[in-house]
Amino acid sequence: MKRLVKNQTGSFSTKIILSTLFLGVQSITLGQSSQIKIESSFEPAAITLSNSTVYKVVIEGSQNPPKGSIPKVPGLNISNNPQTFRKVSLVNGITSIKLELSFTARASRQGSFKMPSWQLTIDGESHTVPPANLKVLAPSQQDLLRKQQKQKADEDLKQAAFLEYSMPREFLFEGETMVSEISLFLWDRMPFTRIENAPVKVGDSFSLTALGQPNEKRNIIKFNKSYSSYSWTVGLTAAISGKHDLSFHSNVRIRTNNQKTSPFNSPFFNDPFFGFGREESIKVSSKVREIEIRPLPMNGRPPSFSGAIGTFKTSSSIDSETVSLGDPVRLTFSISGNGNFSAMPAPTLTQNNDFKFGPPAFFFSGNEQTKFSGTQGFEYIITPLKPGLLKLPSPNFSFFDPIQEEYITLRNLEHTIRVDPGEKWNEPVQRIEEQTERGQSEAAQSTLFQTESEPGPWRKDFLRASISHSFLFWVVQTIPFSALCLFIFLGFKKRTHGIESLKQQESRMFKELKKCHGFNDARGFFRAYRALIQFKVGFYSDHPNPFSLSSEELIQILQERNESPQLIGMINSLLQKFDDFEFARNDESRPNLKEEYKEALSILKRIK
Amino acid sequence: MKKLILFFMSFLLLGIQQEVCSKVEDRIFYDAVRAEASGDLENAVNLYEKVATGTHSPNLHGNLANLYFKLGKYGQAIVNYRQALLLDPSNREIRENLSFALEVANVPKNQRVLSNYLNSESIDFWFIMMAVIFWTGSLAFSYFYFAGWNKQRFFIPVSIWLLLLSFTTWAIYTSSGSQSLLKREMIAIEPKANDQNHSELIPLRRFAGSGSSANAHVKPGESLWVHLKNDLSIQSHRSQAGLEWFLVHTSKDRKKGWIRSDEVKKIIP
Repeated sequence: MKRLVKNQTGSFSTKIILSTLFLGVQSITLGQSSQIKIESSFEPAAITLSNSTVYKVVIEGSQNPPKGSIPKVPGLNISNNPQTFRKVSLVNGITSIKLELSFTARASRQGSFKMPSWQLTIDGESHTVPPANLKVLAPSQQDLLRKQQKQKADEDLKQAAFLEYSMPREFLFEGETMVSEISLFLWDRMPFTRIENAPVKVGDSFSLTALGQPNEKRNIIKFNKSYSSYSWTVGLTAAISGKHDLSFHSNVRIRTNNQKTSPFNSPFFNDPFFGFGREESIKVSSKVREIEIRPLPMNGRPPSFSGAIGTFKTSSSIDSETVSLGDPVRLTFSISGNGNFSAMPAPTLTQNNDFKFGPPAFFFSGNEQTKFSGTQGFEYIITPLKPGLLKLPSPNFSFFDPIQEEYITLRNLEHTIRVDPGEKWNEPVQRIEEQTERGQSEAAQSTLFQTESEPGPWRKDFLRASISHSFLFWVVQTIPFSALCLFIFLGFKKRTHGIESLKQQESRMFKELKKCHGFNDARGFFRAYRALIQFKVGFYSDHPNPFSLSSEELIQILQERNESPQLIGMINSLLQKFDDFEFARNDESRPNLKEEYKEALSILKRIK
Repeated sequence: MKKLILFFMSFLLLGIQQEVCSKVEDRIFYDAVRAEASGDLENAVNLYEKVATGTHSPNLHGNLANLYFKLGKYGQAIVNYRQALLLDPSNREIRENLSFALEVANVPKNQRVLSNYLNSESIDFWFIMMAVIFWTGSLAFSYFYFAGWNKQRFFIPVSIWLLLLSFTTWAIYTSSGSQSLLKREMIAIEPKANDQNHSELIPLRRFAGSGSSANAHVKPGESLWVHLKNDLSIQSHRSQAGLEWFLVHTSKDRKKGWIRSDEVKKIIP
């Protein structure tokens, strides 16, 4: 039972807590949707001129961010950046929510100020902020002293450390880059420890190149004081036309003494040697200068103008005047002078079907810090697409001269290249021959397409009449023809002359034979007869010396000539008789020449 | 006597006229050279062409060819280089220029054109060679024959002699054929017919008419040869509009078709 009561009690308390929470949440929700009250006041409501106050706006019943603008009150400066404070409280079971907005306010004169009522929009509903009053009293003596000290300190600080920047002109053209010098002067007697940061530009209408290492100078006298200066040379580029403020500020670290209340505020601890003095960062600012940025004139602006402003010269070159088809040519276009190199795009080339253009490569040589003076190069890779003598497109470059205040267009010389059609594949054997020819032709290519200044010999026809139609040619042929005829004549004559002599010789021997027969001279008869046989046999066998042939040799020749055995036998017996008579000397055996003569004649007739 | 004086006078007048004419040609040639030097290429071409209508010289056609090449008219350039080479076959510079122009125009080199030994210009050389060989051999053999040389000793020299004679005869025949081809040779210049594609190729048509479709195409600078009829006359056709057409073929008969007379130029006019 007890457990039951306990359980019931527990569930009851739980219910109370839950209902309370529910009511609380509901009341918050209801509270937020309840009526909104707004109060406003200055806290404190009375101040001296050198002090500041807080304009406070309290919104009850909502914590949602309000919308509205504070009215301007002459002589009263109210910051636009309020501090907000949200508060939730539960008073007598009622939830209260608040939103406080605190604006710092400072008066520039003494007197009474009234902040008029103004409208605030919360959750889409407009609410009125009630007016508030502020009384600004005359500054007290202490305020005046503090103000004087601050002014003096500021002025001292301005003379102890200050920034200056110099420009050659008081105006710039839009996009123009100008070399400026920013100098930080530090009084030598001030215990500066280091420069925290290089000068920073204040002014969105200008762009600045990066600041490098400063140029340091010592013992510069200004305001009868000795300074050290740190100078940065920068390229200042104007971005937006109009009149715009430009200033610079920097931070330097300075060693100061400790606070008077500090336990370390003693000569010992403040000794710079031991380094117990503390360092402070102070901000050094330059004067604010209003600089005019003029727009570039539209009149006379050439189409090729792409934003280059300055004073320039251009040049262009190509790396090769003779290439093979498909090989690239490097066209280098250089712009040198003073101007906004960092904002200069590459000049465009006139596109045509003869070439393929690659994107240009940039290179700059000169003052990399300011990019104001130097040479900007653009390297174009151009690939010829057909053979022949081709003209490379030349980039036209236009710029605006800020001194003469006019546009100038520079035109460059056109480059002509000769594009060979390139090599073709040939069989290796032909290739060797071609290489030989090519070697010769390459040597001669330097002399290709030269104009001859003299016409040379004139002719009426392209083809000369053939020499075969020339009368002179055929006349000349008669010379060797005559020589040939002469040779043949002489040869025949010589040959017939030999034959004649042989016949005469034979006839002479026959006469001798006949004569010996008539005188009955057997010895002479046989000798003549033998000589005749030797002559005939030797002649017909082409023997060089027939009269040297012996009887055996004669018989052998006749046998070789396949003469009849009867004839050979007759000749042999007759020769034997001659030999017997010649060498035996037998007078008894004197032959009957009459018969011998007849036989001899018949034998000689048969030898052919 | 009067006839003799008349003969000498006419001879003298002929000589004077020839001298005056050659001076006029020289003057126009120099004008053309000056125009070319001043960059007026079109005028220089016109002046050279004016001279080339009546007379020819290797330097005239060489300069004209150079100008045409610079103007990108490869067909005209190749014709003039060929004509210059006909006038001065040993001119190495013109030969190199022609070779380069053929390469640039992407036209295959014609071996018959560039061969030195059997082309149309060498026919006289082979005639003289044959005459020299024939007479030298004839005289030598007749001398040695009657001098009593053995007949067997004649065999090898006579064989060599006959071989040389055969070779020179073949060379004359080949050179004569080259000359005949040269007289029929034309160079494609540029297309004259309207072509919507602006093609640089010259059509060889199936029929002798502008409306006929192309059988094949040739490049400017390519060599073409006119067909011959059975009676060895040129195969041509004159249209009703008065336009003359030639039936032509390329080297080795690879391409064949009809071409307008104003699209080609004969090497030997």
